[in-house]
Amino acid sequence: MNPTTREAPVTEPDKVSAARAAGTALVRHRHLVLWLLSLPVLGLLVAITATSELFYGHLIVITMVFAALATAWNIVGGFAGQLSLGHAGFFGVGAYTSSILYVDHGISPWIGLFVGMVLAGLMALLIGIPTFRLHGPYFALATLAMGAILLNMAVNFRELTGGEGGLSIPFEPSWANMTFADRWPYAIIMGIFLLICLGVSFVIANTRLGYQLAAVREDEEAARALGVNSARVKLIAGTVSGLLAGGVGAIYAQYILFINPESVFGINVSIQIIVLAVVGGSGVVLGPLIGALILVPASQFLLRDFGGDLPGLHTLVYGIVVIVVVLFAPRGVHGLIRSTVERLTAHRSRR
Amino acid sequence: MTDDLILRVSGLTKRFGGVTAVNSVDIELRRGELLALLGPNGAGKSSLFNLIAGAVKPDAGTIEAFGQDVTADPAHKMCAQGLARTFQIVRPLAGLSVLDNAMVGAFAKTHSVREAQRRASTALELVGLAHLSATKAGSLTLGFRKRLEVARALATQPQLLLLDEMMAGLNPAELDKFIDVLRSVHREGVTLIVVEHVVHAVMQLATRIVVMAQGRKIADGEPRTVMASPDVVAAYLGDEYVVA
Repeated sequence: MNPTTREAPVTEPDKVSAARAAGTALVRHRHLVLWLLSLPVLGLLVAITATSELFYGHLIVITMVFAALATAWNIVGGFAGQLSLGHAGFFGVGAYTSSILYVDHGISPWIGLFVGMVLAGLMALLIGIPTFRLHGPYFALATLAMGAILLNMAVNFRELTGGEGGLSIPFEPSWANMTFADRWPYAIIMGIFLLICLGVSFVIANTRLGYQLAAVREDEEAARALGVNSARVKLIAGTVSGLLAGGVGAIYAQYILFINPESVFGINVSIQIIVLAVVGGSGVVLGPLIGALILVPASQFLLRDFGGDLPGLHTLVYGIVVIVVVLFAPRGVHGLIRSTVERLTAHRSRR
Repeated sequence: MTDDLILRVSGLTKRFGGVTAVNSVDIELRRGELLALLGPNGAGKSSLFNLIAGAVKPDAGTIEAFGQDVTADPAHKMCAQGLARTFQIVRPLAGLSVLDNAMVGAFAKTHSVREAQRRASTALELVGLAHLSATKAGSLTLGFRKRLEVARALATQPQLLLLDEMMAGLNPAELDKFIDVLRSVHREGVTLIVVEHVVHAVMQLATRIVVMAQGRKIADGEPRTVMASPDVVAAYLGDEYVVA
């Protein structure tokens, strides 16, 4: 509370000051409030998925998928400022790992989910160990190359991956198979995974690791002089990020029940993830979620309404939206909201 | 190494291509000293700093600090052991608030957010930046940026603090304030090495002076004796100014 508001209320009615006190408490405990709100919101989304037409159910699940991916990307791309141009690689490794284990070996996708996460995390670790010791764009280049290599591997290792034709996952609905006839169980699973991604981000951002990552992002040499083991913190961020993206891949495969190289390893997927995070606001916990909430439904609506008659129009409109946001809100939608709120509160306290 | 010896540099050499920036330098520093490192531009002062702080690896020679050989230790390890440094060209973490900048420093020695916040606030108060805690570091003036640089280093709770030309570019009022800050830091038991061009300020503060020229140490001792030595006058002003 700033000093001007404290001096004022002598003549003010009690109701106003009580409301203001409640407001202050809300601001102070806003993280707790948001977390408490997340469960009923998730419940509501699941209910909508269960009752509304197919399109809206799909919209909710796919928004959650991309929100979780962008949130995972943000841990290394936003917090640590290490641009990953190949996050589809981690996503695809998760998707292919759990699918291959399930289709070829009958292993439950629940186990595949964890194996996929571990493999994706290991891959991030292997890329990070050599590149995070160096200055410059080496991590970005390595992730770009990784995405391209994995795409080619998925195309060419036909016996394992089914090649261009992709992998179809058998439709045998049950919780043990993580396969369902309805969409709402997917909304529950993906929603919980999204909350896990947000929770991990939140914990990182508000502890020592988050401060050290921000320091590395701003100025690596200064960070090192302040006792930050920069290679180590970047490696932790990259591994956690890859791990989470791999988990999203496994759940996504079970939802779509069909994956092919382009749909999970494609460069479009990597770009989409970055765009969501940057438009929403990279480097802040809720930024990627905000980006996904705006852009994923927008692109789905555009695809539904214009995809048939004017193919390609939805990507054009999508591109324009991105350009407008980047021009008018360079720190993302989250940054725009924050600066607006700050301007409003500054105005009020001046009066 | 005796107990009160905090730093011993022996035969330290660093070459950049054909230039020998630091040429077989020996320095011993006792706990509680305030050593001023002087010398004309290009004398090798900043290179010596970078070597001691672990930012650059030496070509020859050894560095012992806090009783151990730290010659090959990287910067973050040196910081964890109790050595903090500032940069000649200030490097604020521009996108972070002043408080967050100092907290990054504090996290060198603690994992607790609350404790880091406390140490950061104490350091900011000491340098007179507490009222700007919430400001973005990138929007500070040069004088404030320099103070932030010091606060951030202090928040790491160093035993040995290296300050690289913190007084250059300050106006007289800022300079006086800065000298006060250095005094109180020194009084709290921190050993300091300061590189400075502002000689009169250094003369007020230093317990000892080392002068470098062309990568070599040319004088080492009491401030008055050192500043009167013919070698030092020659290095600064040229041979013809030496009064025999």
